[in-house]
Amino acid sequence: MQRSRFLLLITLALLVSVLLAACGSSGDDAGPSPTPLPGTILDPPKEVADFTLTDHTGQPFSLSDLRGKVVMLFFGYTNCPDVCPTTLAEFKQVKAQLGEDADQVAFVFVSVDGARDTPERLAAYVHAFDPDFIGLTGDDAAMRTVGQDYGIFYQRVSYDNPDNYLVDHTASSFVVDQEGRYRIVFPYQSDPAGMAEQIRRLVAGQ
Amino acid sequence: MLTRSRWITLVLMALLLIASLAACGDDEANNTQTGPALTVNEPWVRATIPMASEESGETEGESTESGETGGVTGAFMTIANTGNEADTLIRASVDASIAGTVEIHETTIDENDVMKMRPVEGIEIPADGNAVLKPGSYHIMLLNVQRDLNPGDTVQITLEFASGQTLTVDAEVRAME
Ligand SMILES: [Cu+2]
Repeated sequence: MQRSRFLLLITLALLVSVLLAACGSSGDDAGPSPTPLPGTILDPPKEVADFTLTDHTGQPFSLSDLRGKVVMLFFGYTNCPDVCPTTLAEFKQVKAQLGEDADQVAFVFVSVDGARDTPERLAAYVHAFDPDFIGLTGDDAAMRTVGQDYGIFYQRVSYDNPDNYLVDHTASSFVVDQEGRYRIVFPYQSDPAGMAEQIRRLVAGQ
Repeated sequence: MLTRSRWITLVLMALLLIASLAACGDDEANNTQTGPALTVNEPWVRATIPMASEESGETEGESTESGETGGVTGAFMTIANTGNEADTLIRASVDASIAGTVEIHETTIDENDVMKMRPVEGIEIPADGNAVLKPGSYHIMLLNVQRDLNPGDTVQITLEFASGQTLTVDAEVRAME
């Protein structure tokens, strides 16, 4: 190849990349959000069915018992050593970030492992994080309905330890508003400050 | 200005030089080091759910629907390998008074945000690299935990590697959060 043609090609390539970069940055300028908020907002909010499960005191508990509050839901199981405690610890941080607004928010851990997660066990689990956290558990039939509304996947997995099974489950957190409508989904390990900000907006009726 | 053939010659020479340097480096490493060299940093165990309020009167070995009688928790740490050969963590154990079963697990989060925890054959510690055991990733799973593990407690964990090396570490129990 001739040197001059080579130089021409290089120049063209540089020009194209500069142009592309300019394009990209002008797009970024259009929406200046220094720290993007972590949750995906459902617009319009999704109407979800009420559900009744058993709470950590052994009493029936319905989602509608929390009408008037913003509800943060996480589905997990107490034999989960890492993802579930991590998320509940983040709930605790969200609650702290909310300050006085925390009174308007309920934090609920729903077990997808009703066979092992008794109310007693749930009580010990959620209260290891915060005395106000609510634990709910229920049989498979009850949970299936709840799971469908929020798009929850969960499944027991057996392996070569016959005394144990594992539970694959959706690790997202879900936010229901004061009227019981599903409003926000947060992916696993969302920034607690960002979650608190989005929840604060719901508390404020925004 | 270079002709095409001279340019190719130059490139070949450069490649040859790089290859010989790399080979040279290997020899040096072989002379000075032997296999993996492992150290464990910051081992910790997540505190268990307090069981005091639970009925703990289950008979040893009794088969219940839930199988395991005790709780579970995870142990986490960084295993560093300053040696020039990889090694693999193949087994971990604790005293039977702490937990009945110890397994090596990996947790992954898939593209649908679904958490999956699975037992794994081992965890490779690459040559001149690290294996990080942390929540949401690799961990040592303690099952059928026999007593409350409270913040401040220490759990002795024995780690066995494919190379035959065994390390014993004292893992500090940290609060659940
Ligand atoms: Cu595990």
